[in-house]
Amino acid sequence: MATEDSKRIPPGVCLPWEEKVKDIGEIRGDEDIIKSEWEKLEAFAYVYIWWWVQR
Amino acid sequence: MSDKKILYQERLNRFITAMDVGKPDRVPIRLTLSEFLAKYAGYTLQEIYYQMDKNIECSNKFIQDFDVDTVPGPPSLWMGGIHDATGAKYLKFAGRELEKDKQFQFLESDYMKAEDYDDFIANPTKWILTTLLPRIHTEFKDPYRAHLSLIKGAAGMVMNQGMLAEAGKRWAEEYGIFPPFSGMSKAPFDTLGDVLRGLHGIMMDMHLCPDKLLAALDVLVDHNIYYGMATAAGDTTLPLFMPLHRGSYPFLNPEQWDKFYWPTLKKVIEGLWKHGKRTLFYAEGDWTPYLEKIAELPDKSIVFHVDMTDMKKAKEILGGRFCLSGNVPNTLLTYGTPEEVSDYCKKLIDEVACDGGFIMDAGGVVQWDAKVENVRAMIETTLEYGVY
Repeated sequence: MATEDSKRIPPGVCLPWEEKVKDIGEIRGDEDIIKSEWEKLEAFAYVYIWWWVQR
Repeated sequence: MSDKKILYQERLNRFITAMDVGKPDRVPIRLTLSEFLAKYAGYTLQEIYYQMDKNIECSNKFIQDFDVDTVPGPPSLWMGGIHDATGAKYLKFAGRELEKDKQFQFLESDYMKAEDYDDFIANPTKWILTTLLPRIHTEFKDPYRAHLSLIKGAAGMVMNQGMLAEAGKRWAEEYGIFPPFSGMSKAPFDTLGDVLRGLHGIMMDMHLCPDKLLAALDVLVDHNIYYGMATAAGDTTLPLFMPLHRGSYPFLNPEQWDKFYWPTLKKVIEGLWKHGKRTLFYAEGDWTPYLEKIAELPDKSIVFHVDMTDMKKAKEILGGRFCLSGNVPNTLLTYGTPEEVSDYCKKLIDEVACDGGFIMDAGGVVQWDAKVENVRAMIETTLEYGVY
């Protein structure tokens, strides 16, 4: 019964990399390095947001 | 290998053997202590709610003095400073609104409204950040203070987690103590029913908007699996702590339990188990009517913790397939005598722990009001009488 939005944005993600990368534009180096660091902070932000609810 | 490392490994092996429904050298002792630790160490509740170093010091004192296999981290889960930084209005703390030795209070309400369901279902993370937090955090009253509150809240979480990680390392190295669980998560119904809709709200939703409630519960399954694994930092050795609330009898009737509570809780536990993560099914209250359903879970996927559930039936229905824990009544620890506590523990050892697969613990989290001599009796009886 999950909606399209909730399916599109998985747990651990607040702002998907696919959206962020559009803001960055052309990436001259290794995209995976940038993406990996982005996702680590995404996961932290996600846990922080949900911490206020999961208690 | 140092003595403390050997002790750590012995204790951990004892705990894991019991969780795997085996018979270790003796019954392991896990004491789920909270505010009791502050009283024992001589700190006020205001001190432990606000000062992480004193919060941690409480655990240091206890594990120096008692031979237990494992004790959860410090007594206070909710640090007052972070709640002040954000203006979180659903908790009252000792030394702020309450006297300095009053236990914190949760102000339950329908912080999520029935009309929020569609937005919550569409994107719960976004809804929490953009709708719930501004509603429950008074610092969101203007953009400057809102931004500050997010910085301070997140920084506070990192600082506290860093101190806890250091403390955990010290407990292992200096005292041979391991934590009893890693990570936490909840039943989807409790995620909604505790903080978001509140008991009144979710009870009404079962009648007025059951389809939306079911959709929201379904959305929460993957989030609660992820949250559990993320807060455990991927660890699969120790069980995940899952305090279970509204599924206790008789909050829901059996039909409601079958329809609204159990299916998504089962999915979360099975999802965690697929990652190799066992759940400490911390069944607060009485779960006796649901034992047959709980037995549907994969073998060893949970440690079933008994508070007021009928222990005899729990052993009959779940024993042999799942480790059991707990059941020393908190009322006994508060109002009983050491002899009565000792007798109760001996009965548990004789009747439940006899085949292995049992961990000694209180029924519920041990609070400020428990007597030290009764906690001591529980530990000493298990150490002496619980040898296999």
